[in-house]
Amino acid sequence: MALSDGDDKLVKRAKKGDSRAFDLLVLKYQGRVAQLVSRYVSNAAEVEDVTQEAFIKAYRALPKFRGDSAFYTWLYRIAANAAKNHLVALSRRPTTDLALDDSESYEVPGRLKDNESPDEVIMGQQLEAVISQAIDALPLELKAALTLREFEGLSYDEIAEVLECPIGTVRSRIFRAREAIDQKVASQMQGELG
Amino acid sequence: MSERDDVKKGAEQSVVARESLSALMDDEANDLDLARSLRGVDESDALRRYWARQQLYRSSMLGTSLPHGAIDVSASVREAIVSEKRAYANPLVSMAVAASVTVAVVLGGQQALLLESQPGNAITAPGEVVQIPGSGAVQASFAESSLPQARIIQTTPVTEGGPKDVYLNRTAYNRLANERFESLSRLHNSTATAASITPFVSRSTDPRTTP
Repeated sequence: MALSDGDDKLVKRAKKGDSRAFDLLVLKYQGRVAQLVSRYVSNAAEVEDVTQEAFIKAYRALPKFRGDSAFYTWLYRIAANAAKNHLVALSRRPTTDLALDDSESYEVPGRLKDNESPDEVIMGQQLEAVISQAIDALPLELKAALTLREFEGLSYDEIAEVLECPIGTVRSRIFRAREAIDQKVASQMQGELG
Repeated sequence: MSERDDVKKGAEQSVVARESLSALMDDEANDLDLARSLRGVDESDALRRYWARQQLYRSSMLGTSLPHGAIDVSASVREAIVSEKRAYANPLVSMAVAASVTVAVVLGGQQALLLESQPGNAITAPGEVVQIPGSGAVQASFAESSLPQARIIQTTPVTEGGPKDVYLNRTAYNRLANERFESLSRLHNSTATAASITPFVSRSTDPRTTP
């Protein structure tokens, strides 16, 4: 089962003009959009500019978003076009030519990306290891709830059925599991993450 | 309430807001969660960072590519959106937009009335290019001629054959041509004046007065 991107409520609110909802979407996707843009543009300042431009364009175009595709797929197209337009404006050819439909497929787990620095790779591996340790250290009921949610993509209703507990308990367990991971990461990677 | 109670209450509210954000991540948030989350991230940078971190953890857990961590455009995007909203909310900007629309409507209406009030001057001569306000240049056609041609031909006595007939026809034709030219010239001047950004510069010259 595909994991819901969970953006529906935020997108609806943002479409009604709630900039706070759009802010949450920016916070959620800015890293992925910046990574996409950095596949076209190598200069860090330009990556930042194009990423910002892509989100502003997306906000302006939001009333036209009909929800036929996932929000990120739509955003991906806007960002890819913004990056290409940026290169055209600079009269440069794109260093890579990504298809517009490969928004998910290019993210191959464990593969070294050509735009990642060794520091980023090391930090990514370190983060993965710390999170893995944190999950292993979770009490069984928290670990089960989080695993069913993140890796199996089950809804709270389904998890409640599997674990034979109230839905509120599922919600609380998943939240506590996330808190525990956050604390573990904070203690192990202090200062490296925001 | 003491300062310590305030801190405790703030911490409790923060925990509740984080739990709402957690539900929102899973698309399981109710309306109260959503309202709490939006208010929370609006008021607290710590909650915004918490939300961003949780997205990072999810990416890492799922083994998807680690997002570009060094860039944070959220503040600048938020600022741009807020200033854009302010600009639209500014009464001066709204008035300027409304005034532009009004001027466009009034001018468009006036030009339409002007054309309607001169039906006899409709340009239908072949090859003539006419500038019609509100549209691009239009080449006239033979269709439904409203020029005085038909009227003049009807009033001109028609005799059969002979050089006199040829002369009369030629005179009638010349008169018709002059009349048509003057009519078109007047209309051209009036439409060019109305449509041009330099309305006081005439766009046509009379070949009879030009050396």
